[in-house]
Amino acid sequence: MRMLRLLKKILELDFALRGLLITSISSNRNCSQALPHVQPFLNPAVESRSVPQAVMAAIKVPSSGSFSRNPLVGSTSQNPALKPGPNGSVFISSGIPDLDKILGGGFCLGSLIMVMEDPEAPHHMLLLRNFMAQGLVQNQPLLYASPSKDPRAFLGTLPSPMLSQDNKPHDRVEQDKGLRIAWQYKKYFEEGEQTLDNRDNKLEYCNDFDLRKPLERHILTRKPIECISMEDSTIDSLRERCSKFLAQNPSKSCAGRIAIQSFCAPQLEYFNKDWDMVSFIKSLKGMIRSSDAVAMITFPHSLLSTSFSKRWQHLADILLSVRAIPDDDKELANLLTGYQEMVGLLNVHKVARINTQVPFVLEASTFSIKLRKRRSLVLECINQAPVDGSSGISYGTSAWSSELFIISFGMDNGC
Amino acid sequence: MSSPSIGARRRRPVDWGQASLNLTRAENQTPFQRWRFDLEGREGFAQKRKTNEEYCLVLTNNHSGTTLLNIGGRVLLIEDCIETSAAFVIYHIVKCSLSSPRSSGVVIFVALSHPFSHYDRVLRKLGCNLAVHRDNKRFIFFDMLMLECQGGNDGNVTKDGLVELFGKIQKEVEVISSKQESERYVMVIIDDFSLIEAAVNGTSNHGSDFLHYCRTLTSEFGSSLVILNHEDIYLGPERPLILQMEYFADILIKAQPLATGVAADVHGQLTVINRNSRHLLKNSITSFQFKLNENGIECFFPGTRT
Amino acid sequence: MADYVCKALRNGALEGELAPALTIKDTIHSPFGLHVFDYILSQLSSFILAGKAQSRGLVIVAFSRSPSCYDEILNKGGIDALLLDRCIQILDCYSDPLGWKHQLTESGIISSSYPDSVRVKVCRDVRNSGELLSRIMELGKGLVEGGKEQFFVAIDSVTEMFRHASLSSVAGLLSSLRSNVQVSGSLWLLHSDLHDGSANAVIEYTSSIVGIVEEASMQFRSWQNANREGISLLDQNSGKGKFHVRSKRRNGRVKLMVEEFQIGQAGITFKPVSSEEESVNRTLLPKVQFNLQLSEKEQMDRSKVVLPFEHQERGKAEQIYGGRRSLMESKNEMPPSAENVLMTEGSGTGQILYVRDSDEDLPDSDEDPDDDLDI
Repeated sequence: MRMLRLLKKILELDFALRGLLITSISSNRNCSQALPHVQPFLNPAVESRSVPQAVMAAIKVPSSGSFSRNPLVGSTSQNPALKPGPNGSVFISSGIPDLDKILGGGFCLGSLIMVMEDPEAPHHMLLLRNFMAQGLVQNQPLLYASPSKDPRAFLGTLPSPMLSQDNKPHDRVEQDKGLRIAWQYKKYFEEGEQTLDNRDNKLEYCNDFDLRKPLERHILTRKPIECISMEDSTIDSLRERCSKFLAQNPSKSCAGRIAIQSFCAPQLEYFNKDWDMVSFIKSLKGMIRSSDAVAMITFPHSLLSTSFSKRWQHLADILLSVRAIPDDDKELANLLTGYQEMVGLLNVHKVARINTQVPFVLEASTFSIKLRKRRSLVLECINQAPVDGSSGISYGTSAWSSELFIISFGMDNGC
Repeated sequence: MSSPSIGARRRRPVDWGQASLNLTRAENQTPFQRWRFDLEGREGFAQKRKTNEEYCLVLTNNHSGTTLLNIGGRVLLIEDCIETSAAFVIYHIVKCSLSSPRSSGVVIFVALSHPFSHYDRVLRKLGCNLAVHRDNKRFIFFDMLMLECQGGNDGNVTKDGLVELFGKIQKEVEVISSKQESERYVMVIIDDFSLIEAAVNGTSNHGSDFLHYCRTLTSEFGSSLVILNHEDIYLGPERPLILQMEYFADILIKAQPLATGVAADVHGQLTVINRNSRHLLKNSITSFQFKLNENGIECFFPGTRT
Repeated sequence: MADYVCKALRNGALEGELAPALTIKDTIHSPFGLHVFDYILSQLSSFILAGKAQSRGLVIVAFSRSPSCYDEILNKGGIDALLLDRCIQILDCYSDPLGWKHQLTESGIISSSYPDSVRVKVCRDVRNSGELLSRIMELGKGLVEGGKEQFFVAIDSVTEMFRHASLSSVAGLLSSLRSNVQVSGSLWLLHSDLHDGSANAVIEYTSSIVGIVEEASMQFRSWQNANREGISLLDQNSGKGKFHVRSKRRNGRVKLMVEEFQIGQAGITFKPVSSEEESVNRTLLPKVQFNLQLSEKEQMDRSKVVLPFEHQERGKAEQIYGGRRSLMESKNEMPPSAENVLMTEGSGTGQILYVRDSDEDLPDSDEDPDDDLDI
């Protein structure tokens, strides 16, 4: 709505302004000086940016949904892979548009993401794949460590971004509908997008990935990707590799991504060295924080002792967990809408609190993982199917229904 | 989404120690009271006073005349869990001891969980400029984000890193307390003790030893010690580690989530236990709920928030 | 009863027997062990200073508190400092137990050092139990000037000793203290929940009297843990608790005693256990706005309330609840009005008379309107 009001105000201005608007989109320059009379129209929430930049934000990050909360700062618009967040933090995409939305914009630079694996289902791999593929598409350095013998083979399974025809996320279409009032400018929006796209093939903040299509080979060879097999390396050498990797990429604009799969897998040499692992995670956290990179670690938490599992969870900035859902469970199918499409559940336990003391309160903490058209990963709030009149309860809020879900099935939160 | 528990809403606080009379009187005037978490002057805790028609949970001091306790050199332990972080208590203690007009305190901050920029931004929104205080030598910051105590090639853990860190802390304390011109008090804050344990690989007692030495500063120089730790990681055989800290803590602050789940209006609840063992005074326990804002904390008794 | 303990310690050891040794145990639910320790220590020191005790001197091994703390405790009565110096020695294992400060001072990083004073001697390596023992003995012998007289040893935290040394070496130190002819008695504090069962058992085995500080609400142990925590918090808040003593007597019997204590402004006070459960209940129950239990008066009042239909069995006047007077009553008390007479006639048969108002009523409206209800 705020967006709409803003656009109306723009439209009220002289038509001649339009030329200016477009030029400023392509040049990304703050032109508030050139437009002194634009200033009074600005909504207080977006006071720190000029109108064209606000429009830019709408074009560039259509899927964010909450851009009005986050005033744009600095020159991050030069790098579409980064998005300014609140409190001076910078977001980087998780590779899953819905997850970005849930977390308020994505992963904060400098944060450590920990994913608690389900002992049975490989859903953490979905998160990991999208996380890595997003980085590669955006030409960011990547370090991947895995307990398998040949970690490089895993790169072949990374998904590829969808083609431009279908890459519009579903809600983007809705948003376009909402912008009908500016229909006559629509072509210019498209134009603006084109200019972005032309610079580097489809460089978007967050891509939708087609899980059935492997990533093109040239992307894999574009930037050196470090792959480490944790099976034959000690924890110290892993630490060294990580710190070297982060030291290689000092430039802030291009954050590196570190992905570590199944960190405490039992076949590893340091599986029993609980303290070594905690100490590694602690130092990795420190390194990432000071070098503005992002790391994602998945770990089978059931293999750790409870107290160490808690330690790990405390170390995480963002803590997620994935869970399998039982197959062909009639009771569940009756209770949840869209049960057939669900492949698992995602829980958000902790959201990064960087540069702030205020917790980010989610409306719901449990989400269903669905594969739309069997190829794109979608996260949705769990909705309870309409229940029989006998129970007489029909609250609609997702938070409530997810709570109920957990209670009624006695599932723990994974902690 | 969910509101605070309905059961809690019905209850009205009855007996909250010294504040009880005042509170019931005020209830007739206003539908609910706002509690402010404040620190005045030197230290002390859980002293409730009424100022400007507002209740303050004041951390009183032994300079302000009203204080009953002589509490120079107390140990404050803050415990939290994964669901509810208590880091905000630290920010507020820093803020209050630096920006309260009566206080001339110096904060020595051992940071293991965040870089300076984080604290700077958080505190700036609370109205306290850490960078300026750092230049004035009132905020002494030790960036221990990369603290590692693994010495040599054999991977053996050495205590040298911690000894060195302690030496630095004591040196600062000595410098401050040697300045005669103002009677300054020193507060040593350790942001996340569990990370110190991780830095020494959890082996042997180095972490506890370090803590013990920090404690000796409280009796030697009258400085106070604030430690943040996580309660839920000490389970089973590790439980004594946190119990040991609880034994020597004079004040214990526990942050817990609401029993009814996450809520947008109430972020959790705090229990303050004023153990006060050295002064043979009555203990007092206070518990209240809180909501965090960018510029402060709102504290209120369960059910007094609409 | 705490006085019994003090007396036992004051009287000391008989020749050829082990010296009495008191272990004070507490838990985090009732962390008042130090208060009890202080109480006994101050009693004992006043006996010693007055020359009434078997021991002539007191050696305090300070692990968990700074020596200056003890000055406060011992100086309460305003005792002459010279006398204190002659009778009391403190081995400071608190300020620099591992020699870190010494090391830092040597390398010039920090400047403060801890010179031994007349009363306080610093121990810089507490990990070496043998050396610790010899330091204690040395201090004690200094007090009694090499004579045959005896001294008392108080260790303020065995828990800290366990942190630095193994179970066997700590137990060895304690038992060699007990068996030394020059030690008239010893006293130590243990936080029992910080140690496993074996450590607790070893310490109890080594001592002749065990004093256990417990929360006052032990009978509620069966409650859920969460509740228990809440109650122990209340206990801590009120500063109340129970002090159990198990004393191994010379004749082979075990004397068991319980006492209540209360920590107030003036320090700790002991009193015999109050028999009234009521008073316990009153302090135990959480103070909330609504009542969980009824007071006696309320219970009496409640028992007086006549429940609906209860009166019928007693053959009393039928009373229809809801404030209306019953028929019998109205008969007895007031002259019946015309309506009442009519009604009473019908009431005997229990029939319902229904006269159809008009022909507009459909015949089937005579039927019970609810007869399709399937109850």
